[in-house]
Amino acid sequence: MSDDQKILRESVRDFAASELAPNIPSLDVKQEFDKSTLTKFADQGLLGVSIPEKYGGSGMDYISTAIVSEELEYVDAALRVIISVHNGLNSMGLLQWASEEQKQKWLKPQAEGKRIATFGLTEPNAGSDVAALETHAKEDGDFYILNGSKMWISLADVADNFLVFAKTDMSKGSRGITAFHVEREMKGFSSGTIHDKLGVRSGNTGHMTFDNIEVPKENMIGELGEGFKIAMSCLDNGRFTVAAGALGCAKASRDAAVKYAHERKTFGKEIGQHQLVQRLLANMQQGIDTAELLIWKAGWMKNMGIRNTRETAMAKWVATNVASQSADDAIQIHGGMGIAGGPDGYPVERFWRNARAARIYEGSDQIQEIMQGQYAMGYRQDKPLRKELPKWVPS
Amino acid sequence: MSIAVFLESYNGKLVKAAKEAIGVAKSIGSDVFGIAIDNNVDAVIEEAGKLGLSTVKAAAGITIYHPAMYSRIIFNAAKDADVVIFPGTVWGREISPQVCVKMDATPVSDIIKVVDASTFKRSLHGNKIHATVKAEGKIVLTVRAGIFDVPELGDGTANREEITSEVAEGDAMIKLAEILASSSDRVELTEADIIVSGGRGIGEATNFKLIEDLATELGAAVGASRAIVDAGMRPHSEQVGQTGKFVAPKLYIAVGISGAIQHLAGMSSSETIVAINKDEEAPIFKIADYGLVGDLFEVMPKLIEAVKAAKKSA
Amino acid sequence: MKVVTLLKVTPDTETKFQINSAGTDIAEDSSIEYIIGPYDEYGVEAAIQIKEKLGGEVISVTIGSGNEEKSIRKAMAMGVDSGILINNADLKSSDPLSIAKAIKEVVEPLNADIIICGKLATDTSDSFIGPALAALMNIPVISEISSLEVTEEGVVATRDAAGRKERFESKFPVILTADKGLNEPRYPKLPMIMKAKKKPLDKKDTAGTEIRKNVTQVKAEFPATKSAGKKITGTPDELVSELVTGLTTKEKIL
Repeated sequence: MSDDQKILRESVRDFAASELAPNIPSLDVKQEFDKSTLTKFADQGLLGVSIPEKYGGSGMDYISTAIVSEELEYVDAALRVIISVHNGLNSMGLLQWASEEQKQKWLKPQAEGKRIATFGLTEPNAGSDVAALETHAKEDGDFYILNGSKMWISLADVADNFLVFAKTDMSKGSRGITAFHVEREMKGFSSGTIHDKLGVRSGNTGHMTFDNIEVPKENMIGELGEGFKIAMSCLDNGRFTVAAGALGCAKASRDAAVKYAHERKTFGKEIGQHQLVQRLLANMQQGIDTAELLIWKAGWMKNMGIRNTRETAMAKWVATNVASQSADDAIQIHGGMGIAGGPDGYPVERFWRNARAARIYEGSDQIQEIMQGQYAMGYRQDKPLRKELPKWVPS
Repeated sequence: MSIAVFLESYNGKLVKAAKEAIGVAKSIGSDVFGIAIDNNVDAVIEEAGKLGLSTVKAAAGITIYHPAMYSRIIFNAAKDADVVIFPGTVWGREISPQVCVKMDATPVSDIIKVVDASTFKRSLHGNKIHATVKAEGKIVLTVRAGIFDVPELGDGTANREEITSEVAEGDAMIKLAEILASSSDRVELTEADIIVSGGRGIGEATNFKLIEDLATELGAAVGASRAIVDAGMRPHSEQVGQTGKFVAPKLYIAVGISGAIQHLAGMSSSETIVAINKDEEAPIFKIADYGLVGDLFEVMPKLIEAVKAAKKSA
Repeated sequence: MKVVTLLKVTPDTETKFQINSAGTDIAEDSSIEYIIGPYDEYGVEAAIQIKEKLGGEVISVTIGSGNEEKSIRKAMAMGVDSGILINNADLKSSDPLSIAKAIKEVVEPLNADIIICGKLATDTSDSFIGPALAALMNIPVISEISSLEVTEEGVVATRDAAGRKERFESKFPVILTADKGLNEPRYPKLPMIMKAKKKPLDKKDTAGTEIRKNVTQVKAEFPATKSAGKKITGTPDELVSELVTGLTTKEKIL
């Protein structure tokens, strides 16, 4: 790690531990999103980590975004989700695809933390099958008229800016999708919250509806029909933050398990002395080391400006499964105590609940598996894009 | 070998750490003299005599502490000594380096054991490591408070040698403008034989009354863990541990303290440790002589009553 | 207002140490994370707050042996304007008085109004440099302060001394040493981390300073652990009764 990355890690770790961690268990129980978290993130500069300084960010390298994600999810996934949608899916998408004028107008306030952003792709009937989108935008003079609804949108109820994908040509499948920059203030926009999720209960997840929204033509991101490519490259960045967050969750599970294995005694010795407990911890460490290397490899490729769709997907697939398994094993090590959470209990059951959904969103386990199989067979190849994520230039 | 010891006192009374420093001085050699600065210096000399000092160099009539002036007086009195010993107090830590500079001596601070006249044990890295060091030349020592025994009181008397103090240019730059007595009349943590400390298990600030009540019955000082100091429930002056105070009383009662390593570093040298905690896995139980596994809210009221009863029957 | 903060870089207080093969010191270990000494960090925060209130500049001064640059950059990311790194590994293993003299050589020409450092180096348990520097420079010192107010005229600082609160007033220049409670050090904000890279860091040698090694560390060991504790279980009445009996008859404390 460079000195900047070390300072960043220390700073985010201390910030998260003292400003955010104490409230998480009770927010999780109450299923409450604390809006002041966004203000705190903005104040710390967390909302523009790898966005260049000329667009209002900090100009740190892409691995720094992974470090921030990891440290935040070490505390709770709900905190990392903000980075995934605001920084990863939306802002880095604008950085890659938006015009210079659009970047100054929309990316800059986002990176400065003045406008909160999220990403609207998934619909009730279109998850893994993106081409099945039903939201559509119809050309009308200087506008596109946007109609439809989106589901499972993180920060749906609190974000200001939305990168929305809609069909502009219903006959064309994935080639008929176009990306638009939509704002909450636009007439016809409404949103709602989804409650009773298994995990990420202190995060805001919701749905949104577009009712004849007049979206100005200059709000189109990229070209007409380029939306699918844009969405996929946004996922290259979103998945990167999900992977890094999962690594944080795995490390938190391991640390909680190690602590408990030192404290708890059975049959006259620390339970960590039992070899079957050691096996669980060894497996966690194996997963953590593997996931960390994959994430750093993907981050390095981003820094160098090398296409990394396959590598990022691999990191996401491995890391989210490592997190899920580590949290599960950490519960096992905690025994009965492991299922007692909340402010007075142990955190591992919360980690377990949080880890689960990450194996579904931003490409389910199955999608990841199919992708890697297709890459192996040569059925799937990444063609150069009209616009690539800019490589990192140290300032 | 000539050994000088600074007899830190306040209003005519030696502080406990200074008594401990006398003990350290006597364990290094027999040619020991004290240096006293007080507005009631006679009382200090008398107390030092009883603790076994035969000579005290005394500066009378100084009514208020001044770091530079104290350093000068002590340097003038101690400059021919081979070892100068300071108690491990705020004043001791403030003056000793200045005396060391004037003497061009070798500083060895915060010792926890005397091996011989030039070899000492120190506690490093927040008491995670103990190191033995050998020093050459004249030595200026500070002694960690709470570790060494206070010499037994005898009926000796100390000879008094007068030392003078002059005001120097620059003294007027700084003054001790005000001394606010501690808000409670409770004994200070580092002076106490018994300490009752509260931790996270206390829950709310108002519940700390249980700690205070037991401390009152025992004539004890009140301590706190880092968790509740950081939560703003108690002042930092009460914090025991690596970033708080190092204490080693005869009896330490840890109430609702789980025993983070940083806390243990600050109190594990206590002679007898009592822990009250409902979590029987709490690390504090690893070092507690009396580990009471129970709910502090049930145990503490009964303990307070039991101590009251024990005092009556004694 | 010109403020100099003295930074000592120390192993993270969470570090688990090993003893070296000679048994004289902690083992060199590349996995040890180095941080700004916790008390020095209160000094850094105080210095930045003074600058924010009254203007001026903050300069940090560090004695180095190779692990310092990250921590100096962190201080800069918090708000320190520039740094001086005295690179001299010999000095680090010398006695504290030589270190104080080396610091004086560098700090005195800066003509600072306030010099601030931590009350204690948590690694070596020394609380020497601040007051020693005061004697070497012949200026006042207020050590172990837990509150501070600075105006154009001077400083007012309070501290806890054996249960009393002492309030000092001093004119400039003055040396302060910081205790916990003085402030809450800030976490560097991300844009500041990047800006810190461009702040000037002057690396100096102190070839002229006499290095005295009057203190030799001959042995390092882990403290003896207290024998395993004794757990008492039962009803609250039984617990209290067993404790009080023990304290009165066995320990003879009550």
